[in-house]
Amino acid sequence: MHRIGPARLNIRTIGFDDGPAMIAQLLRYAHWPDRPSARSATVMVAGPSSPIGAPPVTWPFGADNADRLHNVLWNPDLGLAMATDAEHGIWYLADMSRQFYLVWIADIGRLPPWEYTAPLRHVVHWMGLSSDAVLAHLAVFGDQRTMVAVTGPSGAGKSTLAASALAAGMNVLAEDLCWIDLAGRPPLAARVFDSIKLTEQSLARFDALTRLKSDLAHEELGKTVLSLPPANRSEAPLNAMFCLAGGFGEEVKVTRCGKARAFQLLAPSTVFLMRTAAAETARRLGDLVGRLPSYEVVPGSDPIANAKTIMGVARGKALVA
Amino acid sequence: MRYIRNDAEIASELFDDGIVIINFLTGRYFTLNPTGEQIWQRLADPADIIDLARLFASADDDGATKTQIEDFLGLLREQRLIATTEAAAPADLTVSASKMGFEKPALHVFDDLSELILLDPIHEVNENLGWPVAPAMAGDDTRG
Repeated sequence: MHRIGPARLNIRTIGFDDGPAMIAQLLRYAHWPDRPSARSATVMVAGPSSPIGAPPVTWPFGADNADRLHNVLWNPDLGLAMATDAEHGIWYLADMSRQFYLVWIADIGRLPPWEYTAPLRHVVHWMGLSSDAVLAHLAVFGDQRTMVAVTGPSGAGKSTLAASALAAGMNVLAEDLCWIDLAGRPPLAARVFDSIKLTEQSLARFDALTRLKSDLAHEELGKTVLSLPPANRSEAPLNAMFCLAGGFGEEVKVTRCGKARAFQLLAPSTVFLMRTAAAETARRLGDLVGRLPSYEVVPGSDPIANAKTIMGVARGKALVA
Repeated sequence: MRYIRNDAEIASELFDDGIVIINFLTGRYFTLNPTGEQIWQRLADPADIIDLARLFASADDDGATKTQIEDFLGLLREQRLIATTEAAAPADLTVSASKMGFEKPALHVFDDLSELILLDPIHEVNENLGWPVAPAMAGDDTRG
C-alpha cells in the first residue's frame, strides 16, 4: 500500500516496462505519513502498452453526457468522475462507488511538472469528496499549538509566506494544496504533498532553503521546486484563515475580513484547479470559511516578520489593525 | 419570461457579509450589492420581472425599477449565471412582509483567474471540440 497524506492507495501498474520505478518517480512528492489512514482505494496506473492501449488524443464524448468545454465528467449519482489533460496525455477516471481509480498515461515523459508536485491530485480530490474532506488551494503553517491557513490566488504570495514560515522554523503542512477534514471541530489540515514551489527571486531571499532545491523545475510557472522537509506533525487542527489579496506594503498589515471576502480568495482558484465537482467543492470551502476567524493580510517587506505577525494574530497576542 | 439560476454551470455561497458566485465554465467569479443579492436569492426558483420587482418596497408600478432589474438580468444572462425557463413559479412562495428599499442592482465581475486557468490547463477552447483545441484550431482536431 502507498500513502498520499490521508489517502491509503493500493497502486497497481500495467503497461510499463518497470512499474515500481514509474510509481516511485510519479510519487516522488507524495507525502507518506507515519500513521496509516482508514481511507483506502485501489488505483490502476495504465501505460501505453497496457491492454487498453494509450488514452484517446481527443475528447471522445458528446456535450450531453460530460462537460465538453473542460473535458471533465462529474456524476455523483453514478459515482463516476473523469478529468483529462489530453495535451499531456493523462486521464483520470473514477468509480467512486467502489473507490476504484484509473490513471491512464500516454507517455510518462510528457507529464507536466504539476503531476509530480501534486501527484494523483484528482484521485486525492475525489477521495476527499467521498468522505468529509476537501482538497483546498491554500498554504498551512504554524507551531505545536496554533496552525493557520493562508489563501489567495496564484501570485498573491502564499508560497513566499510558506517559505518564510519554513525559514522561521515553523511547521509547514502545505504550500499549495492541503487536505482539510471537515468531519470534526475544528477542521483538521493534513499534509498531502511534500513540495513547495518558489520563484528564483523568492528563493534568493531564503538562503537556508536552497538546500531543499530539487532538480525539478516548474517552468510553466517560472518556479523552482523544493522538497518540503518533514514537519513535527503532518496533521493539525486549524485555528484561523489569513487571506492574501495581492497587495504589498512596507509594514505587514492584518485586518479582520468578512466570510464572503475569505471565500472569494479561496474558492474560485480551488474550484478551477480541481476542475471537477465545483459546486460540492465550493460548498465545503464555504463550510470551512464559516468555521474559522478570517483576516486579510497585506504583507510587508520583511518576510519573516510577515509569518511571525500572522502567528501572533492567530494566538491573540498581536493587535489587528 | 421567467428566469432561474444556471446551477449546472455555477456555484454560489451565501455569507452574512455577502454572496459569492463562481461560474466554473467561464472562470469568472462575482459579488453583488444588497439589491442584487435579494434578486439572486429569489432566482433560486423561477421568477419573472414582476416577481422580482415585488421584492422591493418602492418598486410596485415603478417602470424605472423594472427597467433596472431587466438590465441586471441581462448582465446575469451575459455571464451565464441565469437562464430562461418555462417552469412556473412555485405556488407557495412567500414574499417577505418587510420589503427592502431599492437601489440599482450591481454585479461585480472578477476575471483575475484567467492566468491560472491558462496554466492548469483549462484555457480558451473551441466550444464544439473542447479542450485543448483553441478556437483558431477548429479545423484541426488531431492535436493531442
